Amino acid sequence: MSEFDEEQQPAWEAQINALLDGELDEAGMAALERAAQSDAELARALADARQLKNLLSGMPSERAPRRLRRKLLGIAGPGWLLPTADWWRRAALIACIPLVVVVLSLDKSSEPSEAEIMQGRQELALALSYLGRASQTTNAQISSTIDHAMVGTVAESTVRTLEQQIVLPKEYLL
Amino acid sequence: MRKIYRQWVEQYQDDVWSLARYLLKDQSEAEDACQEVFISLWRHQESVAPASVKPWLMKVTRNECFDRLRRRRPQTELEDEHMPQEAGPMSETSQGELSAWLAQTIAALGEPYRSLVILRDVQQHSYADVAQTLDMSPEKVKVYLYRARRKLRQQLVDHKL
Repeated sequence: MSEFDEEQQPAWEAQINALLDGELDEAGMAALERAAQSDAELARALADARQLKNLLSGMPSERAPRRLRRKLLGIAGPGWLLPTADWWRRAALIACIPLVVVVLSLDKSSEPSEAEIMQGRQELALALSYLGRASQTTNAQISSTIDHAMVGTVAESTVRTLEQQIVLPKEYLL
Repeated sequence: MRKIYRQWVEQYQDDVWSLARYLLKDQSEAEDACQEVFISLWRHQESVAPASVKPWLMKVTRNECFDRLRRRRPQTELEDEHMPQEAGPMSETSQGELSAWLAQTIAALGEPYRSLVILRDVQQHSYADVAQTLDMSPEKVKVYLYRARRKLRQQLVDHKL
């Protein structure tokens, strides 16, 4: 790059360089723009410098990938990937959030409104009346089923048991 | 020691990564270079002044990349997927096309101009850090950077013609 001889450059080159550095103040900028109105070469250089500045600031600056971060931290030893005390504190705080929500909701339900109590009572009474009816029906069905089926079974079973226990001599048999 | 090292990793990994990506133009090689750089930091952390860690890292990264570039065979020069690609003929004057062109133009600059533009204009490190990284006086950095920018501006004009 020896082709650039600073001695031969126009005076405004230093200001354009300051512009690229972001170090040109408003007054300097205004002076440069005023000069550019009567100097086509300066106007062109100014436009090119601005375009270059925009292009340079828009160049991609990629972030390091996660796996690289893990490797870099791993250089300090295997213990590095274990959670730190700060991590545990943060985890404990995060875990507290649902607990607080549950406690608040329980606290809220322990003090129901009058309307909620009334509605609860009505629902309970309705449920109890259904239970009563179901109980009566079920009892009747059970009773009837047992009466018919069990009588025969119990009688046959009893007679058989008695027959087995009482062994009569042949002469008593008919 | 570990805590400080961890802070340095969090603080500077992106700068080291980005510089390695620009210089090496290869993702896996840049990863290896970054690891070498931080292994070196871990080994030398007691001798590196905390205020100079950033320029120290950038200098070691640059040297590591140059070592790798020297070892690399000419035919293994890779197309960088990180850089914006050339646009098609329909958008020849688009910003994307100009960015791709600029990335290639910066990569083609000789040293120390290429490193100066990346460190100062792309990564926007301070003049003091850039000077420390390149072992130059801040005045020399300004002069070289002035030349590099003029060269880029001239090439931008030629490219647009």
